[in-house]
Amino acid sequence: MGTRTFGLQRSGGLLTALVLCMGIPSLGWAQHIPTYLGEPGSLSDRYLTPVEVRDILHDANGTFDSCLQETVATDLPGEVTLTFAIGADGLPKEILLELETVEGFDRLSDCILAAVNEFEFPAHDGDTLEIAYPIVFVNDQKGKRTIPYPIVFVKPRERTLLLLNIPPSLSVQERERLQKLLFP
Amino acid sequence: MRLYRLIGFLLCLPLASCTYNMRSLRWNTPDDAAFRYTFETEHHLQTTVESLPPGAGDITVIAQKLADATFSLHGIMEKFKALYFNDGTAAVIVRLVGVDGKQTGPVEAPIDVAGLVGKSVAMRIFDSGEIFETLGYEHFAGYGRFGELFADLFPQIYTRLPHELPEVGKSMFVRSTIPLAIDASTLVEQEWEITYRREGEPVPCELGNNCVTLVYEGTIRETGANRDPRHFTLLDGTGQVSGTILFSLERGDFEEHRYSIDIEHTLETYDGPFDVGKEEGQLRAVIKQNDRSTTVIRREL
Repeated sequence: MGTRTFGLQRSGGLLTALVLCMGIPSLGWAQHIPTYLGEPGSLSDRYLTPVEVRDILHDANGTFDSCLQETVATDLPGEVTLTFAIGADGLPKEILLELETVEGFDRLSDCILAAVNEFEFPAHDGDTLEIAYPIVFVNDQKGKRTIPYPIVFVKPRERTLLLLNIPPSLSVQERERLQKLLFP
Repeated sequence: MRLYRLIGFLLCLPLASCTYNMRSLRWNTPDDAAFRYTFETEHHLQTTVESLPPGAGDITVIAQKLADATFSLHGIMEKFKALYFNDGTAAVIVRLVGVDGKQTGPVEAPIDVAGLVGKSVAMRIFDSGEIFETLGYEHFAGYGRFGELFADLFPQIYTRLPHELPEVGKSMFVRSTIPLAIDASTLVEQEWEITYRREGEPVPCELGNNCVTLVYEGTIRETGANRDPRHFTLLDGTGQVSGTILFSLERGDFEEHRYSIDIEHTLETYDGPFDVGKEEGQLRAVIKQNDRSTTVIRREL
């Protein structure tokens, strides 16, 4: 591979340089060119995936941890579940914090809700995404801290009777019966 | 002197070769601009339940409601180029800007398609119209969305064109595959084999002075599967297609595209466990759906 490149340069150095100079700007020097349509962050990625949401929440782990350090008096470990929705504009709404370990976490809510309210997810063409994300607090030899949860939970959309056009005159019960007959 | 001529010839040879291989008929979607299209489509569906598992009971009412349904839809969609890939393909986004629809025929009822407004399909295409990859059908699919009625609409913004303009009185054959990736477990592929002919010399149209009428007809062979073990479904279909494209040679786009599709889909569902690798399973139910549709798409000027 290296020998071949050297040979090209030697036999047609000027031409190679010219071609490279013409080619580099059109390829977008130092820019990442996506390799498939749904590559996260690419201009052709019009839909938000759980992985993209998770990455943004993981980036915010430091903020969550600051909230914990500032507001939680207890040293006990705990877990709170953050739920919110992401509309087409990418802004979070219907933000709620379900406190499963209530004691000592009372003041945490305001801090985390304020932080989540500042989030900006990419605008997307999909339905509103309903997200649930556990924020886990631990207290071990490294001290009291927040650890990023490995996944986010996205409420799945019902997509029954795929690949078949069904008239709206079919009632919900009739559709459910057909669904049960077609699939185990 | 002879050496210089030889070098000049060798330098020009690749250029000549490239020019020779360039398509004379291609789609052109300029950068940094969005183009709008209006569409009207009517689908007449006839669905028959061929077989059901034992003990299914009486489904006469459901079968009657499924038997015959006609849907009329009209709306606006827009397309714009999003990015280029290294292999010469481009990503084009086609978005539904507005849509309205109703069920007509024996049963008349409005259908709720408002949820589809704003949704888009990304298509990775060559300038011939060959579609390499699609993304976003997942957000159209499923019961109550009526997104399946749009399956053929988006790819027909870029119908696969022949390599060059057919001579008057001659025809050109084109084969292309349209991949419709519904989601991670569901892929449908339509193989189109169509023959183009041209009607007359270029004439002025609203898109420019050089517009040709391309008429095509051919067959569609469809295969697909939903490999989700809970809803394992195999899809098989055959049909006919015919259409007319008023194509502007200057703009590389159509002013109007009318087409008709008559396709019969056969859906087979299976009882699990299904061995995906061996394609083996216990057949559970078979449904056939004949879909006769006529569509017209017009570019807004």
